[in-house]
Amino acid sequence: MTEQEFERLKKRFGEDVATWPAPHRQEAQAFHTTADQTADGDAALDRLILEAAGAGTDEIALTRKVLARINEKPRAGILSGLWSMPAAASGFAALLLVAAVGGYLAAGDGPGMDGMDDALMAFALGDGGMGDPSGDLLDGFSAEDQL
Amino acid sequence: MTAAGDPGTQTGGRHDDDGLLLRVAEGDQAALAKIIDRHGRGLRLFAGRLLGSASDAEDVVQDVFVAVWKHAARFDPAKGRASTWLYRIAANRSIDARRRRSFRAFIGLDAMADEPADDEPSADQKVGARQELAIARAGLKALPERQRMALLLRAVADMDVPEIAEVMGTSTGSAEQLLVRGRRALRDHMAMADKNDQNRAGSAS
Repeated sequence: MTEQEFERLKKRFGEDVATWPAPHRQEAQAFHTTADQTADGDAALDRLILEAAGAGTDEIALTRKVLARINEKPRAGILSGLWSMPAAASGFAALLLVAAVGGYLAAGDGPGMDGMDDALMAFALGDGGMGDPSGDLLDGFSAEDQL
Repeated sequence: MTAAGDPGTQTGGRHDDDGLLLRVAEGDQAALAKIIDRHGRGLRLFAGRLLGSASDAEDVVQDVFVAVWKHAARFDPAKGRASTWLYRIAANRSIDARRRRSFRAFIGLDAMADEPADDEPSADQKVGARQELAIARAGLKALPERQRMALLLRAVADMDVPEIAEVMGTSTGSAEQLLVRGRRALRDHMAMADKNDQNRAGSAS
């Protein structure tokens, strides 16, 4: 820290360094520490850690970015929700829809399903052959059997 | 402790922050800007050194202040200081950011290598005094995350043990242990680096 930086911080946070926010407070106090007041032990290590953590920061740019984010208008409309859905979730939903429609068509509206039912019934009654699925189920029995 | 780090001397600052948060809760953007001005640097240094990535730290700090804007009404001055509340949000967001980065690295979207959290990484090599900082940074990076967090809360945020415990969601005893172990490990790392330097100098001459 330079004397100029210290004066700038004094204008930002006031005359009393003790009320400054961290880490400005510790940095200012370290700046004014004379050689014979050098900290030792844990305090010295804390000071070294603070110095090691040091990096250039720009609070004005940060403020601008944060205010831009909080003033950002939320996207309106029904489709905006869909855009924000994760791609995997929407893909999975589409797959389920296709599978459900396909399954419905295959099971409910497919050709030959009635014929298959008759053939199974005939087999269950001992007809043995596939026969005429549209014929009388008792066609294959003798008159006695029919009695 | 000297005035350099006595949290008891921060009464004026504390009341300022509490009042500012109350104003933020009422929708005062100027108050939010003032909070960013007061705590932006501290949170940025804390997140930067905790994560070892300048860009992640930048995102985390922005997220913290957006969260403050949305949830300032949840802050209760009776339960703790405003700065403790801010650093707690920052600690949680940093942990989330680190997990996201690990996951992205795991699935191959990101390289796991840390970016330097310093704007001038090459400055460390310029003079001998800077080497000590470079060694301290390497030592901090090598520490377990919770020890590093405790040390940074102490050094950057100037927090005492109960405040560190509050931010980290642990007991004061555990926070004290984290500080003690972290300091010991960092000192060991620096002593080892110093010894290696001396050995190198000895073999060179």
